[in-house]
Amino acid sequence: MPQLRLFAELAGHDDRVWQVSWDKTGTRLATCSGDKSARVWAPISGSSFFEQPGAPAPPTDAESPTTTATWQCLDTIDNAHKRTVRSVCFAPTSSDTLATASFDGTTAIWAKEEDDEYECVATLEGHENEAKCVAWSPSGQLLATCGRDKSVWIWEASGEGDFDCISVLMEHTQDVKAVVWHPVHELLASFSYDDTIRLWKDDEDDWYSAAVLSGHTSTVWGGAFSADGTYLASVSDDRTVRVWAQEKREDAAQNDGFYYRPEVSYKCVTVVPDTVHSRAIYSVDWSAPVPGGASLGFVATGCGDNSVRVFRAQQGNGDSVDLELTAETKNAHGLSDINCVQWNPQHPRWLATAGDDKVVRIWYLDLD
Amino acid sequence: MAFSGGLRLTDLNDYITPGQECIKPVEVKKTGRSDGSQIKVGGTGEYYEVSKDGEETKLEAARITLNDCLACSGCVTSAETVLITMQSHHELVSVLKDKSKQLVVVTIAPQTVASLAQKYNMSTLEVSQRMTAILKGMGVDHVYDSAFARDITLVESAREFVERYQASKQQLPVLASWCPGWVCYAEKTHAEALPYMSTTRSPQQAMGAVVKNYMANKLGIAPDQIYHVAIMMCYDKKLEASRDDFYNDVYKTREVDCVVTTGEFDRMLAEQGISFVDTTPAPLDSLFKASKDSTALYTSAGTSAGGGLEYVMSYAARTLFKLNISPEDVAGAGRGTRPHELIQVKLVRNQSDHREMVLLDPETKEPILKFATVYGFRHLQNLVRKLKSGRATYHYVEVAACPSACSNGGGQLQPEDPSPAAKKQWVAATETKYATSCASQLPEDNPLIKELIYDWFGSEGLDSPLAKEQLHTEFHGVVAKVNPLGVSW
Repeated sequence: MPQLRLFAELAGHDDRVWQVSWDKTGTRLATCSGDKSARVWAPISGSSFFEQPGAPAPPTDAESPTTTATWQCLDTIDNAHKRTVRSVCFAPTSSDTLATASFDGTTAIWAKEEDDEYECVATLEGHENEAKCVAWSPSGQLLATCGRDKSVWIWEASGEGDFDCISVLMEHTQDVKAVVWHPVHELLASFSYDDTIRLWKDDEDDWYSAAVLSGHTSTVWGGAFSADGTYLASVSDDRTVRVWAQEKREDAAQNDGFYYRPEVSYKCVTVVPDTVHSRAIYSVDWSAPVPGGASLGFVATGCGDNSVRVFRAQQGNGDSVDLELTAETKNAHGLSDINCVQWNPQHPRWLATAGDDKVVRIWYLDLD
Repeated sequence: MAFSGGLRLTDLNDYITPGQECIKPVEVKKTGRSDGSQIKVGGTGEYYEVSKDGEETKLEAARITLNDCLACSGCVTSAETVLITMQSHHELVSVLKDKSKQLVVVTIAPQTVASLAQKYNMSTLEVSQRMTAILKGMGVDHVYDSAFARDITLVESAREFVERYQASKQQLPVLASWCPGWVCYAEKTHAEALPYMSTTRSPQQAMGAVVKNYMANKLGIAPDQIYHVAIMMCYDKKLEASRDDFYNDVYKTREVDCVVTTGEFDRMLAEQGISFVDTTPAPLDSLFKASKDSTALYTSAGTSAGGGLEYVMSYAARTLFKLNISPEDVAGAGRGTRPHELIQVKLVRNQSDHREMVLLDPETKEPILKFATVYGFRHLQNLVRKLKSGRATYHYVEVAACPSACSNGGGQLQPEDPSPAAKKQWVAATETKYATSCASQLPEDNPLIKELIYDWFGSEGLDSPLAKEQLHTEFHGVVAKVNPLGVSW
């Protein structure tokens, strides 16, 4: 019976943990919390932890959790934000750089030298109120932030460690909850309280809305692209998971003159019905394909019904994707909402989850 | 209804908890008494504070005015739409029917004219003549051109720049303040930019001073007997007109009573059943930027932002460095149509909305003046960031909240095809109609301007204290009060 086995717990935050982010090597994990801080954790034995993690551990005492002996907290970043840190993201090109977005409206960029501490090298202001998410583009050159002021901002690294705002996109009609970059192309997806997903492309630094994906009947909390970017999974307050794929357009080659801006068209190819998750789904992540396990990878969801679920993704009929429920861990964080799930990018089947119980858990998807 | 990007970012939804963001909480004067008091509701619904010894003092009702609210994002939401419509073409029509005012004056903006010219496929002169005919036909007494007053503000802006340049580096950069979208945004969220703003009034408000002070005096009528309407390119101009700084306390009248957008004007024509195309053109009034016989309109060299940057650079080059550079030279270089060896133009990030214009020393070819245009909210962000971190090395920045500046104002006419491609083409065509469809004329070459300045301000001209008072204004940062609910999460 496939199941998620718990191998480590990271305790230390004083308030709910909102998000986790693995660095590109998969040996560092950044977390952020309502306690206004961000932390960076690592397995003491480095990447060999993932080959030999030791025995699965039962969850420790919920009242006073402790960090599993095999992991340590490397850094605590707590001197920049005045309110909850809602989002954290490692830079794709360097494990020494990360970004945090806070309810105080600012996004901070941190960098560290060698064995030193993380220092704040830039503070990006501009959001009118709470910033909800920050994400680096795969190239590391662009940063996207979004917030309750309904806007999505795109920033570009300007060289001296600072960022210039290159676009302020205000087409969502409500709070924007999350932003996610396509793994290959410079395409950004944003997810909003207005029940839609918007895809953004750029036309020489002028970003525009290339598509609006409607279908969810309530707030879209987040999403994730499949490893090669062919599919986009989104999760919502309406308790469904939807998978979207790009439609081929016959007139795609037509160029309408100097001012032409190509639109893209996505359609919903799969829906996981609202009977599977019993509460709002807050987070989703799509792993790389696992040979012998899942041809399109595994999709993990973190839900308000306190459960973490893993679906095996395989090619279905035509364009659709078959999502088969493979593992379900109820009360993965006790009686607390799961706020974030993230697959380790380098060590397949390892999953980090963050919950309202102030703890981060590291799981392994055991397929036997 | 579309405010500029700078204002639209405000949180106009009904989700704000009452009192959390209001910048106008009731100010209670501390009386220093610690014995407490009670509140009593009077028979007619008024509130009285009853002190311990039974003394009753009537409490004042909290008042929130239109300009308080529209510059803030606190709580007023759909009510704003109602308040804004108080300043609309309906008001103009009803004032004309009412006839209680002695004089009705309408000032039209050249950007509005360009927008109408684009829609009806006419020249800007033909549009101005038809607008004059239509408005006068409705009962308006005079139809003026804001470009006329703009000539005065161009000269004054340039003089202000040179003064600040010579005074101290601390007073630079000078940020243009003609765009009310930028001003409201800066006052609300970036008060640190306010000391750098140019205090010279915008053409709209300078015309307000001309009409309600100079003209009123000359004609011997009280300013409150004149109803002054401005037909402008955006809704933010309505906010500008309703600022307290432009309110005449003595006569209880605003210098510009009502602002109507280009779109509202066009709608008014449809509602009144007036055909713009079939109107017989009428001769232009005196305060118009046109040739003496009114057979040709003139423009000020530069983009639809008003030509401030071009004129200031030219004036500074001539005054400070004895270089013979004309505003046309600067405009041509900026547009890329006529490169100039002493003016280096760089498009930041390949965006024509963010240009750096550098004046070079003819001998050393080193930069001596660094100017920039910043149009559009995202470029504005970068400017503000640079200002905050002290890295703004410009001397003068022309700021506009809308990309492509005023040709693309929120109140301008829209193309029938709503696609982004068509919109871009439309805006570019409007800009061309505005900037290059007529010859440009320097303020110095307009004899009426000189006449007016000396007649109004006396022999000291623009140096007189009256000029300083009439042609300048102030800015007020909005101070956000501490969250009274004390909630932080």
